[in-house]
Amino acid sequence: MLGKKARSLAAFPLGVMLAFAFYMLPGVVGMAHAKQVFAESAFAEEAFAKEAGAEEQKAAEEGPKVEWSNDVFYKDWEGNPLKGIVSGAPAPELTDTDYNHYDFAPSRIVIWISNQQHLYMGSFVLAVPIFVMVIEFIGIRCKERDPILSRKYDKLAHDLMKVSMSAYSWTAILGGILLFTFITLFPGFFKYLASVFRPVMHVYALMFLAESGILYVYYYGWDKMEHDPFLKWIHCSLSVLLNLVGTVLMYLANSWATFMQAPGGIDEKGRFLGNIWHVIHSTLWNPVGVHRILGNIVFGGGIVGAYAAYHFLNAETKEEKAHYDWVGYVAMFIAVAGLIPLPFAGYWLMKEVYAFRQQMGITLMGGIMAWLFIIQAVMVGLLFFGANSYLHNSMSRVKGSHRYMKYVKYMILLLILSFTMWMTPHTIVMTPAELKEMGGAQHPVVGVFGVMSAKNTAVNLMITCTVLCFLLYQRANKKITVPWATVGNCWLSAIFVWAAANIVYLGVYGYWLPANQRVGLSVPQVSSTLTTLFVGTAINSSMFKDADSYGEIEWGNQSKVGAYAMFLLAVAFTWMMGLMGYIRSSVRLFWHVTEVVRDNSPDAYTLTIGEAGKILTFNALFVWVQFIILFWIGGLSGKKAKAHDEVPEAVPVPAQQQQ
Amino acid sequence: MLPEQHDILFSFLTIVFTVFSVIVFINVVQQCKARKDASKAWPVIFGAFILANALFTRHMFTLVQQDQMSFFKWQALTVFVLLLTWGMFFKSENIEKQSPTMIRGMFFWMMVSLPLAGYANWLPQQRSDPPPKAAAITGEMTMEQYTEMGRVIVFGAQQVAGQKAIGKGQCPLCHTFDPGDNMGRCPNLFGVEERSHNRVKEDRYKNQPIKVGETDPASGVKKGATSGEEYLRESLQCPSCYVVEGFGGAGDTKSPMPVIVKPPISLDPVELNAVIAWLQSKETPGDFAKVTVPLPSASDAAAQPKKEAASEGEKPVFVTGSEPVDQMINTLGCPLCHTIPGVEGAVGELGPKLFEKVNAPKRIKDPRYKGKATNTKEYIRESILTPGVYIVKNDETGELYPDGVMPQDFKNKLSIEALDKLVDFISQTEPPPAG
Amino acid sequence: MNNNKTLTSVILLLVGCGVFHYLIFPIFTPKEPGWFLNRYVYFLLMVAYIIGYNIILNLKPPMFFKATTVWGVGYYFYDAVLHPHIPWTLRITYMMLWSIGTFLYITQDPVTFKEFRKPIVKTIVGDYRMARIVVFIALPVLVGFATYQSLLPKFEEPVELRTVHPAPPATTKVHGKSYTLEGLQNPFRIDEQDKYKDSFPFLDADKQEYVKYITEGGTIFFQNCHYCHGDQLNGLGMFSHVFNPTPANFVDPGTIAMLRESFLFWRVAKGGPGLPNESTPWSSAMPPWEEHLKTEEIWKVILFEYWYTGWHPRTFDEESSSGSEKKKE
Repeated sequence: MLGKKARSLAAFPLGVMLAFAFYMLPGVVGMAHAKQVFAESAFAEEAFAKEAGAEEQKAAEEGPKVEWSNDVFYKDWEGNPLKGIVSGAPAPELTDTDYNHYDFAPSRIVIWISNQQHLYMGSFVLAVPIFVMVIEFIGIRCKERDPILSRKYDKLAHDLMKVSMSAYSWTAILGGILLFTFITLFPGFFKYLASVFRPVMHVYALMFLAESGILYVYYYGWDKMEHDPFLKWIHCSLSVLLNLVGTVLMYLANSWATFMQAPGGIDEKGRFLGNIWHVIHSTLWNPVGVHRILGNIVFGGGIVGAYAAYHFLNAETKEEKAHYDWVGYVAMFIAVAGLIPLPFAGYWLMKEVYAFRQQMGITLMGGIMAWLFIIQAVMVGLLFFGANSYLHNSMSRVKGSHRYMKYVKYMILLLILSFTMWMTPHTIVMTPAELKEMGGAQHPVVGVFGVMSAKNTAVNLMITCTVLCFLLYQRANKKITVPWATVGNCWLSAIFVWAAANIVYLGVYGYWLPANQRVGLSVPQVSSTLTTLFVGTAINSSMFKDADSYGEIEWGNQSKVGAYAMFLLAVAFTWMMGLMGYIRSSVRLFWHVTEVVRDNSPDAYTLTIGEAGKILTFNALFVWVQFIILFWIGGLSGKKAKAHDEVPEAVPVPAQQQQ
Repeated sequence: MLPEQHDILFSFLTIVFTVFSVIVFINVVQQCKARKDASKAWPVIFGAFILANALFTRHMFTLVQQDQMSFFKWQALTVFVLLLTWGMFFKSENIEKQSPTMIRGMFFWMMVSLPLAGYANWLPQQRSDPPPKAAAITGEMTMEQYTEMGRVIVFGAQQVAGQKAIGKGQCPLCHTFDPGDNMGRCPNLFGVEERSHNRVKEDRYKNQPIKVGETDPASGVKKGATSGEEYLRESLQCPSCYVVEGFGGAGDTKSPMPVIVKPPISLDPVELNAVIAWLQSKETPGDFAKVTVPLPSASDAAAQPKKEAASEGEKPVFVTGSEPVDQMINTLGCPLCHTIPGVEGAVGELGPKLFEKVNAPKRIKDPRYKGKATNTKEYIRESILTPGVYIVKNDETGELYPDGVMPQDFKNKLSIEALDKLVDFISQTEPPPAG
Repeated sequence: MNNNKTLTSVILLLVGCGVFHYLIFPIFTPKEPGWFLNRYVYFLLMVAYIIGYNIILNLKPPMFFKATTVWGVGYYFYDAVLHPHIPWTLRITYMMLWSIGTFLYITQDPVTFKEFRKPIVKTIVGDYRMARIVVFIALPVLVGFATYQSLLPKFEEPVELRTVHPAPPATTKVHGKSYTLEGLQNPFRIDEQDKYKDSFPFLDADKQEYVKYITEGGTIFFQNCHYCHGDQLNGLGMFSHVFNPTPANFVDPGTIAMLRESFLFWRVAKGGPGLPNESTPWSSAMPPWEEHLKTEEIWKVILFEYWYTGWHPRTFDEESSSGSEKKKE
């Protein structure tokens, strides 16, 4: 074809063409690209200009439509009320047509009962996963050390979860009943609440998909996931996830109740100001949430404890008795662990109520609802008595406890004296003859106990005493062998003596201070108590290293009194929950949403404490009927893996012994 | 629970007791079956207990709350006897394992919860009712609130230190309300309710200045009050229908009082009634027996322009200068006391007529004049801002106009532009051409 | 042997307590109780005696006896030693608590519980025959007596529960002016009252405005208030004894010391009739002072009361402590 010469001749133009193409192509492409980009940007600009112009025009035509209004609670950084764009309808002025009622009971009682039952069951259903998570975790952790005990823990967790399954659907049913009660009996109010909380209610409902899904996988996959260690960790993580989702669900539901009590994110007329977070995140949202998490733990512990006590009393064989004695111990441990921080969460809640509306705070503690807090004091006393009685009886069955049992009567004396101080009301109910004899409305000696200084002192002493009892219980059957035992004991005694002295001193000193400073003394008092708890437990536990034992704990020898003490705790928790829930709800007085939506129903008055007491007693008894039925259903299903198919060689000891 | 409904706790307990008797029966039957030689009477006895409890329960549900509580003791007693009988059963059959734990547990529960409920009922009871609803919200109000509304119209909502308490009605400008306080310009209104009944019967009322049945030209109202309330209303709507002796101009035929239902005061009918309600009840605080005006209905209240915000913290009167002059003058209330040519309706008789183009120079030259103005405009400005500097003499009566009647706080109510405009306008006012 | 010991302890207890109550108690209750000669020291001595003879004589009484002694000692304290007598509602509360405490003491472990039950069981079963006869006769008689007492008509005034510190309203109208109580300050509190603690009003009144206000407030107080509230502001005025509720004792830490000045302003201005229903306005003798005093006079009286008693009015400000106020009333 092309000869050598022709090839060399042709090469040059070819090369030139190639070079040309090589440089031109990207240029062409680039130019086209640039053109396109330019065209796009020009187009975009034009489009934007058109849009902006259209908007402006629209705004000019319609005039400014946004209305700004002041938030009823939130403030900006300067302290002025936060402004928001009005995006909701104003709160309705409810009239008689906005309420329906049945003839057999006032609507307010119907809604109270449906709400309370749902809350009780919800609390239980949230508590059980917490327990199960902790117990399963302990079971995994002690698997190498003590496989039998680990198996026990795991089985306990599984059994508890089984009960929770029927409770879960029952809670949902009660929730449905509650929702229908709201819609049928309080439609006007609920319409407003639903319009403000529109996305929240939907998210709440949809999150149940997550909760149910995790729950079913968690429960039904238990056996399958048990044997492979990695899968077991996944399984345990599922329980953590279950708890997280459950907590979020509770917080979402809490937002409705705290909004009613302490609204935010709306203006004075009740119009939503656009920020759903403000509406959810009322000032009481977090305190109520924390208080409810702790309360759930305590309530769940009480229920499981009662369940264990019942089976303990019913048990036929020694092994069964031992098993349920042990379950009761675990339940009580968790319940009391949750019980100790609970008053501080309650304190926080009260503080936020006062910060929100001082008048609401004063109504609670000084005004018409003050006597309810005296009843609460009675309940707290019952709780302490029950817990301490359980501890004493538990301790008594531990070998080697005799050396501490002789201190029990002094602890009881301290408890009773503290509780006497705690129970003394500021306003004493008396006949005029007694008034004359006393020479005034205040008794010269006992009258000083009516104020907060004394109450704080009393309750801190009670908690410290219980902590001491608990520490003694922990070390009852141990022969301490660490070389620094004496030093450790000295430190422990010093901490307790100092804490008691500090609490008493601050309590007495408070009388000579102005009121707002006196209230601040509760912080050092509480710090003393918490120091005894944390530092004392730490020192105590570290003294158990290589300790000898006086003998194993003989599970199954719990006395009947101890079992009934657990019953007492369970019923006291239930009644107290009803009481405090009533207080929280009725402090709104005649408002559905404080100062925004007025309660114009015939039930708007505040009940007398007697009426309230009767209704909440009914609630407490009724929920236990339900618990009994649920436990019965839980016990019905299929494989009844009783304790006797896993007879342990030795009587099991709790994990804490294996320090 | 309402008193006519069932008590929830006792209803629950009665059901529980019946269920309990059924459980006991089942337990007894089971025990009897396990023992061959058990007496047949036991199941019958416990069956009877079921029947008794069921009857009690049925009766309880026919009773109301109070009666349930008093009847309940019979069922409680029956259950107590049931327990004793059960114990006797155990003893006679020598049964070791006695009542099931469930029963013991439930009884323990009740022994704890019921005394707590009892404790709550033992404490003396208090009930707190919601306060009466606010008027503006529901459209309903109590008479107390209505008369208070009237009082606010007369005196204003808040007393500001240093200023006379005057509300929308402007009444205290001229009228006094305390006994014995006779300023001289307007009738003292202490005890006016009592007088209002008698006055309509007087001869002078029926005939002076116009007869009953005639229409007053200024307000267009036909005179004809027959009751105290109508007299009070007529006094507000048509002050010249009847002039109290000694207080009128031109031989007591013309009242210096403005027509209250027209600008600048313009009370609407609801407000008018509120004022009348207050006038009728002010001598008897807390007692509204003498009030004869009806409360406003919801439709009235809805029609009433909503001014809750204003009534609590009254928006202060303020003219910015962008309004037309006669609107400014009306807003400030000058026509109440001054006659101002060029301003319709400005026929006030309480203060000097405003012919300042002619009068101002004369006033400045008056030996009594102690102010600092040197020309008409300055004089007018001074008269508005500090009225007390020079008091004009009333040429017709030969006396000075009363001091302290012209409000001292116009300096708070005018912007500079408004003041200038006003001064400009007034400096041009002159008497109507004679003839 | 045991029976002898038990008998000894019973005799020592009864005789000893009799001696204490009738002979020693009067010694410890002179007109002016001192640091040593007072009822509470007496009580401690009696307790020491009871514990003492048991330890010294090594009597080791049975649980039942110990429990009843403990319970009885508590009852004795609340009934006879605590002075003046506490109202019966409080006594029931305290005795309930003491009974619960005794019960906890008895049931602290199964051994003591069983030991406690032993004599009761023996009495019921019939081992202690005499005791059984006595108890089974005495019990119905006691129940009958209690029933009789409860059915017997009594003619005491009914008890009335008052809320001593009601929640104040948000606003109050005094002399035509509406005041918001939240944040309302005393206009005459122009300075720290402690600075003027030892100022002598009559000498210093001309120089110091604060003392002048206090003097004026004091004048008003002694013209109007001291008849009920006492010339020492302790609620023991010459008329105080006829009123129920008695006039407030300002010296007590539970009255003005715990309250805000705006609360006092409301109370003084509105008086008894201005109380909410839960504070029984129908029984309060406090006049509504707005009908007799000017607003500034009311503020000055309040200023005087705080200055005289040395209390400071309560504040709810941000700078105060982080704790909340849980006033148990």
